[in-house]
Amino acid sequence: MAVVVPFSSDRRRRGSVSVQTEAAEPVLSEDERLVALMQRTARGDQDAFAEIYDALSGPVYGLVRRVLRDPAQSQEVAQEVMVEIWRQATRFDSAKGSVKGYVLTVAHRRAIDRVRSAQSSTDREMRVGRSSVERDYDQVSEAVEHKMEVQQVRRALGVLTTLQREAVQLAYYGGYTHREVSDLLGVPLGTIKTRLRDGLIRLRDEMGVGGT
Amino acid sequence: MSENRETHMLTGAYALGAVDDIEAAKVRELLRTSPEAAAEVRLFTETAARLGEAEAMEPPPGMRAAVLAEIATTRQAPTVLAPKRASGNRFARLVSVAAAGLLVVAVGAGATALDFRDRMSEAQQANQATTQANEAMIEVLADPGRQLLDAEFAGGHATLVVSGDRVVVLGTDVEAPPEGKAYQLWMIPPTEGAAPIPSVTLTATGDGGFWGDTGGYAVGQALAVTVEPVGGSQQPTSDLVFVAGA
Repeated sequence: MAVVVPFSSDRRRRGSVSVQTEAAEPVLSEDERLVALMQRTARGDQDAFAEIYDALSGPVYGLVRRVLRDPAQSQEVAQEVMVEIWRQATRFDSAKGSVKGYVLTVAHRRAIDRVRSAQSSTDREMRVGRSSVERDYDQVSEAVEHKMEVQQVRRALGVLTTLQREAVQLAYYGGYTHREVSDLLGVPLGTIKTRLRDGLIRLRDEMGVGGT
Repeated sequence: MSENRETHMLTGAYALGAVDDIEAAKVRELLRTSPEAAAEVRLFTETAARLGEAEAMEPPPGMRAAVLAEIATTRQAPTVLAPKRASGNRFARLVSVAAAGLLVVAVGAGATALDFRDRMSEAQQANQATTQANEAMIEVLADPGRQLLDAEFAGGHATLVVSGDRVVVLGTDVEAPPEGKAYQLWMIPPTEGAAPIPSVTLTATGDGGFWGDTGGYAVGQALAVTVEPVGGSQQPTSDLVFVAGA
């Protein structure tokens, strides 16, 4: 039977449980705090959304800027992302991942959509060549208050093989598809797919990304 | 090698946003059926987010005020449909809607983007309707919130994709309707006894392909197709060819 039913009461139930948790248990992890804020945002609470903005606009803007580079365009896209988070808060499901993971996924998707739709592929090849991989890897972004995270990510990237690292960086920061990465690096497609996957496994383990 | 295994090898590229729309749709279908792949992608996504977070920069001044002003006047999206097993009640209601003068023929299950693509390549005619259908399908399949429905359709097969209020229907290997008739899409409100809402008639793409692309869908509605005079009707004049969904 191809039958779908709307998100039913269990979504609402989850919401109300965490509201109680929030009241009874003031010490929340950052992830839990963001989930509670998303649930309030889903009910139209603009103050809760402002707190989400304060927690995540830096990562969102920084990631979009890393992909797009152009500051004006990056601001435009980052704003769109934050507004989309507001619009879609009703659909956020904490069982599927963290708020941060969700928000940055939206940001990344918007940024690469912009890259893929607005620019011809030749334009993109001029914009991000292979040479930029090395530069980007060594370049310390204008980081705000997150040195630990930056160092952790740099250390984890440093553990990857050169091919894993180049493939992951071209895909994620460059906005290239695995086919384009394969062309750019002159490495067979199957190898790229595998390197992206085992590269992520390595990064996941190095950074201790768990099932929280 | 099984198709699932092939698709599973794309989980890394998927989490990094390095797949095209069709591949993304294939991975999402895999995630619905494979808890193992879903768990893997979940952690990959969190891992990729760390790569993003490490790039954090102070946003430009003025952005906060601009965003907060915009959301104050922006309506939030309605809660999305989620695919779940039919509850007895729900199905009973659907049947009772259908039984009110209409006949349920068939509801299938589990359309995948892959099936869609296979069928498209068979039906791949170099005509405009096919191109439009293809493009519409790819657009809606790219929506992470979209829902896929599946039904038997006059000897062939229908895939229906719901993305927000938009519905794209694609029939393949479908028998042509009688001379002077067309297939028409209807949205059936969940309220018992409510009249079906007329929607578009489907366009033939040749070779048994029929498609339609429309807005106006509301959460909870079932989708159905009937045979109507060319141009469509305000009320169904035939039995349901199929009903799917909600």
